[in-house]
Amino acid sequence: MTAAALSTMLKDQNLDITLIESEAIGTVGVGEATIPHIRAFNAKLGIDENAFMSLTQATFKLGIEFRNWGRLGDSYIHPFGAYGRPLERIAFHHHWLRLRRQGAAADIGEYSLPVVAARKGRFARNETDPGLLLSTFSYAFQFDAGLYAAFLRRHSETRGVVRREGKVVDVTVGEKGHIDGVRLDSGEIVAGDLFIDCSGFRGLLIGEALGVGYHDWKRWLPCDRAVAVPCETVEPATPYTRATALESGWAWRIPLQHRVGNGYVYASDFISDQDASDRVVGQLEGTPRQDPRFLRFTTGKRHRQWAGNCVAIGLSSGFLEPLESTSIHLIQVAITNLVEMFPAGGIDPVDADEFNRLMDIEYDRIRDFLVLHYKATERDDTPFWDHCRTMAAPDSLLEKMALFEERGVVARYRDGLFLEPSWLAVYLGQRIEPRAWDPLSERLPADALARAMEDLRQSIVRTAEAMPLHDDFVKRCCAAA
Amino acid sequence: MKHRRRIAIVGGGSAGWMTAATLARALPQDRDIILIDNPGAADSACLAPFDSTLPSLLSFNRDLGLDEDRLMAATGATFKLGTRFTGWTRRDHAYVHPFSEFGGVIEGVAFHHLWLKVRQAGQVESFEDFALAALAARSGRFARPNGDPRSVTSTMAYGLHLDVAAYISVLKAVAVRHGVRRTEGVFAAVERAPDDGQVAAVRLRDGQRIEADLFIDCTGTGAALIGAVSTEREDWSDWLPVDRVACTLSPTPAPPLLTDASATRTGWRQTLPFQGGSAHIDFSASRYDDKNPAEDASARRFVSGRRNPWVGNVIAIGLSATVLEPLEGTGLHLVQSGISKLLTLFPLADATDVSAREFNRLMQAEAQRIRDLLIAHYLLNHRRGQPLWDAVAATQAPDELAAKIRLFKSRGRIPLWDEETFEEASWIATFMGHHLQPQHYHPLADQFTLAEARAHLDRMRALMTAAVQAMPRATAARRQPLESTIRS
Repeated sequence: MTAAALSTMLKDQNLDITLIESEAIGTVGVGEATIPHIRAFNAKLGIDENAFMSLTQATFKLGIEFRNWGRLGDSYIHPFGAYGRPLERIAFHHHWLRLRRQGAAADIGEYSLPVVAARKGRFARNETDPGLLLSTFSYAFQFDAGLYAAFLRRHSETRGVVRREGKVVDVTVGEKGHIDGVRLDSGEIVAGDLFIDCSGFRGLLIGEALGVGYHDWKRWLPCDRAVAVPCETVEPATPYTRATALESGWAWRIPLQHRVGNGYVYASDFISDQDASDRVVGQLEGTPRQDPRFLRFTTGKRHRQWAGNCVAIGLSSGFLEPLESTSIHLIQVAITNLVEMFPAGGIDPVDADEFNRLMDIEYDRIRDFLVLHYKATERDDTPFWDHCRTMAAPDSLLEKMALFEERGVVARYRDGLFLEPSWLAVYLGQRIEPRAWDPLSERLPADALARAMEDLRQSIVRTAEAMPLHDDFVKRCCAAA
Repeated sequence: MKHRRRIAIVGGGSAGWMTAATLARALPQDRDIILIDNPGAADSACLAPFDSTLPSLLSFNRDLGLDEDRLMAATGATFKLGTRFTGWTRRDHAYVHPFSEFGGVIEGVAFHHLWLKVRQAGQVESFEDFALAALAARSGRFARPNGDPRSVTSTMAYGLHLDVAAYISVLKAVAVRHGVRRTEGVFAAVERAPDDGQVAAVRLRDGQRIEADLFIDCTGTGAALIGAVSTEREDWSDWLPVDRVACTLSPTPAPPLLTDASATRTGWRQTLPFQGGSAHIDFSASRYDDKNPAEDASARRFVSGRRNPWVGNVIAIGLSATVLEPLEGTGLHLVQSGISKLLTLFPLADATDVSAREFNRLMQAEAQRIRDLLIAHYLLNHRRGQPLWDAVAATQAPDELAAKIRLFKSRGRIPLWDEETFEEASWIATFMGHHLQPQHYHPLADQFTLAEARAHLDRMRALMTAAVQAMPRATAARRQPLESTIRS
């Protein structure tokens, strides 16, 4: 992604880009579900959406279904879209909380078009006219990351990126702590002005060569392993990803055109690799397409993502489990910030400081949002969930939760990926019931409010039912060749 | 669902009456609002009797149901397209901070990078020539933006030059019509509830005792009420030493559409254009000034800084919370933003202090970022050899401002934090105005050849010049009777 973006967006800088990759080293392919921002990235690269979908076996995604998180048996969808519309300038959910308390409101998801459409297996691209219900959502993709990488490789190479096959065996660090060059197993030395570490968990440059340390967030996000096993498709692809809480972690289900991605993200303190593998294989809906593959990770982030003339992008910069499909997004944010702070005039620590400030905010805020999923639970049926329910959480998250519990207000920040509707989805979906709502909402008569909300609910059902079936839509616009 | 129903606003003035009018309209019917007016007191939001506002005040007025034309006619207000800063760098140099974007974004590249690219190659018009509001002000022309986001006029906004007392009369009429009770008195002391230590009542000097569930301090710089429940205060006077203000009216007209802020030996002079004359407001730093005591007696004193505005069941709005000189016209804006956050986090009857912490976090961020813009004007001055100006040039910028200056100098980037009142364009106008020139423009600007960049500049210039020519000449409205202002 970095090579493709730099070679496209900075094509006028006469950059000389070399990408070093070894076919002997496998890649991690769990990040197959995305969030809507990927569309902006593809658009900047001039990638046609239907062609991209067809090449990567992609399906559409309107959100994520979370099963068994608040309690066993619970289900909610975190949609790419809003709930209702503000009335009298007061956010919809305050009105909803008020009616809910009187028993006069349906589940909050019924006031969200992407939730209703997802449940019905329906999909259409959103409209831009803000007067239409069809403008109240956005969408992303579920795709094969391996095919995407191959696609981006071709894109990059036609734009002048040179790919070198080989393993880095040595890194030369100069006096100022800048990397002068890397030596490959062939003996060849690749020099450069700027080095981008896309070596994955290992952090070959940023960690091993430059010694930049790592914040370990295991105390808040206890999962440290995953096992992945794709299976055959047996039913039409759903336009959403599923994350099901299991005994010692959670399972993902990502339907593509040609297969379904499955896996179990688990905490090795609570379950063995074999048991985790048996658990996920045991619940597969179709025949497995390959043997289970295991991954180990340490949730956290580098102390600095840009050090000297080295920028870490992807897993070398940190790792957050794919519970909210943020892996590819974090890559994208790093690339955007690198282009924004691109050191065309030479390495300047001012640029690195700003890059690191922005990446820290991004990581910390996503972290809090992920921790919320584990913390906001009533489950005590397994040692893992009992641990999550009672563990310490970051103060920054506890403060946000306290504000919501007290009065249904979502704390407001300039930066950070997840906005009010996302926080609402998880808070309400996982049984964080505010004790109060906006007192100003009381100015609206309750019966008029109930009517307006029921009208909205019904027009959402009608709009969703008028959308094509997701499967048909995919077949028509972007079926894989 | 219980919120605090009985509200006592201690102090009138613009902060008190803006708060009273808004709460009376927004809160459910069972509210009971009393305002304790102190007609002899200096204003609770504006340091001077005439104010130069930000565009945000217009939406505040609309939300109150005020008709803008009638409001302007009733108060003798005039339009404002920005502020001209005179003599802050070289003594004969002036620049405009317009209520305007500069140029237009093209292919994701901010305009100033294109301008810098063209400038690096040779001659280019001044940066200000690409701000519609600055061009219109220079030509003495004005029209309200037509609301079409594709039109070049959407890059511009406007504020007002206001007679504060006249504005208060309008607010007072709205508040009273919506049931706000008014009494007169001067705050003397708080009375605490024995159980939770919250304020149960305020006592006035004449012996009146007023009970309420929520107390709003609009007593101005004295911060009498909030000061009685908390003594903590951030002092900003090393960065912003100006502490004295005096106002004179002049029959000599000033150029329309801009506020002028001229640096002087010991501070700065603000000039506001009104119909048939102008207001001059002199701000100075007493520690660098040797005015005679008689002259000084008529001046109002203040110290720049802030407090945490929400403590227990007391909330400070206006100068009682944040004291900043009106160099960027933020006095009423801070009131408005305090009210809007108060509505979002309106105090509940049985609550923890989490709402107060959130309110204070947001208000602190907002006040500090405005403070940073004011500091930038002083810190980046070029007036050497005058004690005030030498002293402020030697201060060390707060971290966020230091980062803005560093990144702008190196690559024309403005990093922004939570609750910034002023977005990129304002910072760029100020930095450029103070001759801070980025070393490098953004590499993305290289997707355009020099000729393409030049052509884009010419296109923007032509669009803006045509838009200005289509505007009528600015004339001040004649003052109309007050009663016609209020719609509902």
